Amino acid sequence: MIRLVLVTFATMTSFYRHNKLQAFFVFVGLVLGCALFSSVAQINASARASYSEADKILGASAQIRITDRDKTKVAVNDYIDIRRAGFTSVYPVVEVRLAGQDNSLVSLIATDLLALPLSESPIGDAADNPFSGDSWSSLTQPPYEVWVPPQTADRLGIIPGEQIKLRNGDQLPPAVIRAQAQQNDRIFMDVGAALDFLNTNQFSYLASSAFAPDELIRFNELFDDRLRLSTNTDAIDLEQLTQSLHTNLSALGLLSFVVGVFIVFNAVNFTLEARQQTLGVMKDLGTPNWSILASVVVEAFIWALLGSVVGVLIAQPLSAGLMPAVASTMQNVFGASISSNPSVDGSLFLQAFLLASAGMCLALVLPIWQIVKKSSPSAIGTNSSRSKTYTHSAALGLFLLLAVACFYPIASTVFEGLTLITMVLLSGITLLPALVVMGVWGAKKILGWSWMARWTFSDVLLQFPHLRLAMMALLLTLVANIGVTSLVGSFRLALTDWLETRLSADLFVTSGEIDKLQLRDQPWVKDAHQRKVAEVEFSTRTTQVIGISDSTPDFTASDIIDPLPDAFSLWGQTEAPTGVIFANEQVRYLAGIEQGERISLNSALGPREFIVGGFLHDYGNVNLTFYLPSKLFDSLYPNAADQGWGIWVKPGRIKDAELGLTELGIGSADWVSQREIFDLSMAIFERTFAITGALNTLTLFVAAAAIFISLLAVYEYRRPEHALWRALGIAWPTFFYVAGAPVFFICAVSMALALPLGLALSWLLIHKINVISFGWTMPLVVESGPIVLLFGLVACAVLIAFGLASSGQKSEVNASLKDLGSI
Amino acid sequence: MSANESAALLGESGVGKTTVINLIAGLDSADSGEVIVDDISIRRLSDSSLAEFRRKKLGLIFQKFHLIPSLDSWDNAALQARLGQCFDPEFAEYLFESLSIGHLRHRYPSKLSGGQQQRVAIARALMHKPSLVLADEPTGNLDEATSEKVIDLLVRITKKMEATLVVVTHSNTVAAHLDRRWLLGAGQVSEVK
Repeated sequence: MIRLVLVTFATMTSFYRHNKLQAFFVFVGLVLGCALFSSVAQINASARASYSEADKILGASAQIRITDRDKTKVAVNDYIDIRRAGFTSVYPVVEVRLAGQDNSLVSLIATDLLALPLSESPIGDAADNPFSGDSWSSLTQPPYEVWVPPQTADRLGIIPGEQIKLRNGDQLPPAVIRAQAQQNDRIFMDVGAALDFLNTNQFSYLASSAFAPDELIRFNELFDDRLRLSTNTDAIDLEQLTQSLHTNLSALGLLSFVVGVFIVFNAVNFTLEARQQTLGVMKDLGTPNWSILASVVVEAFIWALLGSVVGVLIAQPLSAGLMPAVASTMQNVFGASISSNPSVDGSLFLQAFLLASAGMCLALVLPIWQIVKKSSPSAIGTNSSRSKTYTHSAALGLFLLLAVACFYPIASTVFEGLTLITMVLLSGITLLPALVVMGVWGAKKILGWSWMARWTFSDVLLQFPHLRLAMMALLLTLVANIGVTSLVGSFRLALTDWLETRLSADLFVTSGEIDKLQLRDQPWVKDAHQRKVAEVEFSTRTTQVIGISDSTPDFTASDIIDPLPDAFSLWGQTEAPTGVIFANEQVRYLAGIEQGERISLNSALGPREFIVGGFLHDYGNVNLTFYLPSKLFDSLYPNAADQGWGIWVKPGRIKDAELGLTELGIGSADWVSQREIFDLSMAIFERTFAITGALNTLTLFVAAAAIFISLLAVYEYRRPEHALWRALGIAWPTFFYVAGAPVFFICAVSMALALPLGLALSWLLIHKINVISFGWTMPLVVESGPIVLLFGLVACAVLIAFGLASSGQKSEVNASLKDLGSI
Repeated sequence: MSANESAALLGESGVGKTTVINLIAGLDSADSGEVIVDDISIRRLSDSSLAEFRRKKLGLIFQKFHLIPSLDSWDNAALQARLGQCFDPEFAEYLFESLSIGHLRHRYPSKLSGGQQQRVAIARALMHKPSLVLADEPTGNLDEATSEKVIDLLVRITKKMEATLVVVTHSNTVAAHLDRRWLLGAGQVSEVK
């Protein structure tokens, strides 16, 4: 039996000895697909490994926050009292934003590493352990040191040992470039050193892991009169927060893998077509089907082994190249710190290998099984069977789109959202053949008077079965590209609008005592408004109420989404018994509150009822936020924390304003230029989507490679026919026009189909995945520029693929001319 | 050979009959010697001139027809004439009627029998009124009755067009329809009387 399989295997694979190019196609498809998939899997695993080690420092995972009831900050004495009362899991945190000498923004965070509970102590390699060597003593003893994350050091242009200069002339302790988990873009220092440096005896807040119920009761008994304890149990953890991005990355990785498998399918189809005669002869000679299938399985396994091993090996440098972009995304969007180096893990390697092997085996075995089962093997199929298949395929595509429309309103989990996206992608694949046929039919109707057009469009139908899989791969990448490009474009505009609104004040005074009247009297002040915030209990999430003046330039009626009639004017009427309140979108999507609904909020004057008058976009906020007019807010929350003053400066008076603030007694470290924050935020945003851009480019490259490989195979398969064209005297320009125009026509149909599907994908990402994951949405913005650029790039890629595939065709066709008589 | 003449090229399998046809058509290049058609030395022609030579002066008929599967009979037959910008619809009609394929003009090759495909291939080879028609085993895939009919038509029409016809064949019956018979063997061509 084994001998029979071996003989069959040897006979079947002898094909590759004379068709090395076909072998190369299969190999390239396997390697490309495996490499992209494995690299993304590795990136995801590395990031998740970072989370499991992270989340453990600096209050990022603190489930409890303790603040003073009257003031925001907590006195050192209160902290000592709490520790003495036996609450040893409580640790102090100082967080402050400072202005650098060059007006850059410096965020500082400090804690007492020794006070951190064991479960929240930083762990990891000895090199990362803050208690190893003399790290600890240098951190806690004068002249102290600050730990600057590499990306922050890059941004500020800091080298090790350098002291960061502040605008007020102070200097931070010498910098050590090292990152602690969840340090984010913040500079870390010891809490004692921070109190000394900031010349204060107050912490920003105290943090702790969760209290046991009896601890909670005891804490309230002891400190409720002066300290406020807020539970943070619903703060979205990093894994949840980043799930959407990881899902997107996984989807893109799988997409690359699918594109790779498409290449393999294509190559396998061609090798089978070329081996039909061998298969037929072997079946005629009595070789049983199981033997043919067994030999194919062996062949598939060998291919899978080769492709997966080489693919996973290539994935290492690829993921190392992509990882900094992912780290940047995590840092900027989610504030999650992950290592820039992918972790090399044996189990991950095995997992990627097994998954890739299974996919490869499927790609190889299924079409071969179909061939074996056919009495008259034909990989391409006849015209009538093909048109029947296309019709069924189109019906399936329409059904899928209908199903997406039906299930859209009820999809409520990330998985269901992704299922809808998958259905959209599948509908594209299944609709493409029918659309190409319809396109040819329409083109022939319009241009049928020209014999050249008739010939060219007829050739589309001849080439399409060979190019179908590659074009489907191209369609998938186009849909993903358009979807993600529109998503990023929408993000960019939403963020710009949000920042323009939030940062419309030229300067923001973060701390310091300001005399309101004195400030408004300054000749350089155009407008100035104080911003206050109070934390309240609502739903199960952290909820803030913000007091805003109705004359604030950054808050206008046009900002309100779905407002009730006259909501903006009603909002300003503070005397009404049931006032109107505005909320951010998170209240709508995460807490399920609609406009017009009544809500109740605790205040210093007791519970107070409001009608939700409309919503505001609140890009990236994970908290629920309500907005009240400042007069009403002041009466309801007299102890609210002062967030600072937004100052709008008269044109050309910025320098006067900076000087004026100093004269008003505002230290240069106590205000920031919001225009610079805006620029910085936009720069961060552009870096944020570097990973999606890189993956989009890679999948596009794989799709172009698929087209190139398919074209080579088409040329090889059609060489006798092309030789005939030449024998009939067809000049090369005509030759390449007739051979090339169908490729571009199919591409154009793919692009035309990709556009609506890509926009549908974008809609689903924004209005389903985003809402489900984060609770906020944004307007879908379709910018023609990036899409035109994408189509232009695809056309260039196809042109290059066509040019490369055609480059050898002249000599090959000429060499085949003399074989015309014998074939 | 002079215009208006027809000849059969006979010989055993593997003796080089197709190679001779390929050399005359410029589909293959000779190591030495000259191929002269209409006072033109094929060997000296560039790639594009050779294509033009085939497009305008040559009609080729293959044993396996080699029709273009994506074109119907009419477009297949007209292809070479259209490429050479000498398509004459009236002559095309005449050819289709003479070859009894007028009713098949909108059929694609996959819907035609072998004999019908060969007649379309003949129409294609004659449509642009070439001065030389080369046919490699044109009846090799056809039954005897159809073969007779096809070769008779081919000779009749080329005579009318005053074209030269060379037919590679194994069949003495086919050869009997032609003016001259050459035998290829042992590297020599000899005329059979």
